Amino acid sequence: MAAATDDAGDSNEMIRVVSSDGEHFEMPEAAANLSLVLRHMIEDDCADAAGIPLAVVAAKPLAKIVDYCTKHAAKSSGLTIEEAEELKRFDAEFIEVDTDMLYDLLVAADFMGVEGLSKLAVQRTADLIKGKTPEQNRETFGIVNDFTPEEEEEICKENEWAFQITKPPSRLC
Amino acid sequence: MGGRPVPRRQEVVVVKELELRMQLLGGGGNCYNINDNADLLAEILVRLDGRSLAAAACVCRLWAAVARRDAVWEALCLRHFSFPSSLQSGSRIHMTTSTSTGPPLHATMPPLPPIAGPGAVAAASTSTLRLHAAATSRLGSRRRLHATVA
Repeated sequence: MAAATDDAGDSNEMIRVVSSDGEHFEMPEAAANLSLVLRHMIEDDCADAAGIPLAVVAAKPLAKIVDYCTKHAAKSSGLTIEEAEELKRFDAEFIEVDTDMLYDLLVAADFMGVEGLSKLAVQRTADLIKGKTPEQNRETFGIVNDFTPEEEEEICKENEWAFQITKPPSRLC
Repeated sequence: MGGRPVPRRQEVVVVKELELRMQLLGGGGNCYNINDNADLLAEILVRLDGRSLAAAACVCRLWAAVARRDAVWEALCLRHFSFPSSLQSGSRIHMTTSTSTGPPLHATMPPLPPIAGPGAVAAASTSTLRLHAAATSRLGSRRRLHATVA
């Protein structure tokens, strides 16, 4: 049993959700409304005491998502500059996770339709890829190089310009 | 007679196979596999700069295929040239598909920022120009670029 109920939004009603591994969570309705899927379920009166089952979201990422939604719902309207800054800092800290959790968040946020979190996780993943060599990216994301030697040579040649640090193409000089 | 129980041969084989499967699935025993969802991958690659995107295309077959999607490069070009909101004032570039290969594309791009003269061209960063060249040569192989001045 876990719940993130510290700073609730305007709504008093708590929405219960159940992770794929059977753990129950609670969050204010305003927080649940940040998820498209949960909002539709609430509108369709599917949010009962038993909780909304989320078949593909495990407890670990769900706990993070509940945290995210609760924080953002509490600060959703009429933000001052300081509050916006604080929310930004929260996001930056929130997304400092390992690649396993990052992927879980990506998939879960996409499935639950939490737009803000989806964007945050996608941007974080893109930042991990930026400026890396193919080999570094394979290592970070545990990807197997499945090119044949010929294919690899061709694709590297096609994208050769990406690896030329200082030399611009002559026709543009 | 005490001490740690030695795993039986059959158990060792099962563990070995599990390890191998993990390596095949995620690489190096890591469960994280970004390649499970190509659409999510596309959303991620869309946010890269041109150089990183080109490098990402060399990672594996799936990344190469996603990095070849026109939508990815279009988003990159549109973002890179951060167009002024002056759709109503002047020239437009219409891109239309000239062959049936690839996904249909009917994008109307807003006008390019005005270029005052040779000085302005020189002032533009070389990386911008290089990126533009790479992107247009990619699109140009399959598409005609129609520029009409209103």
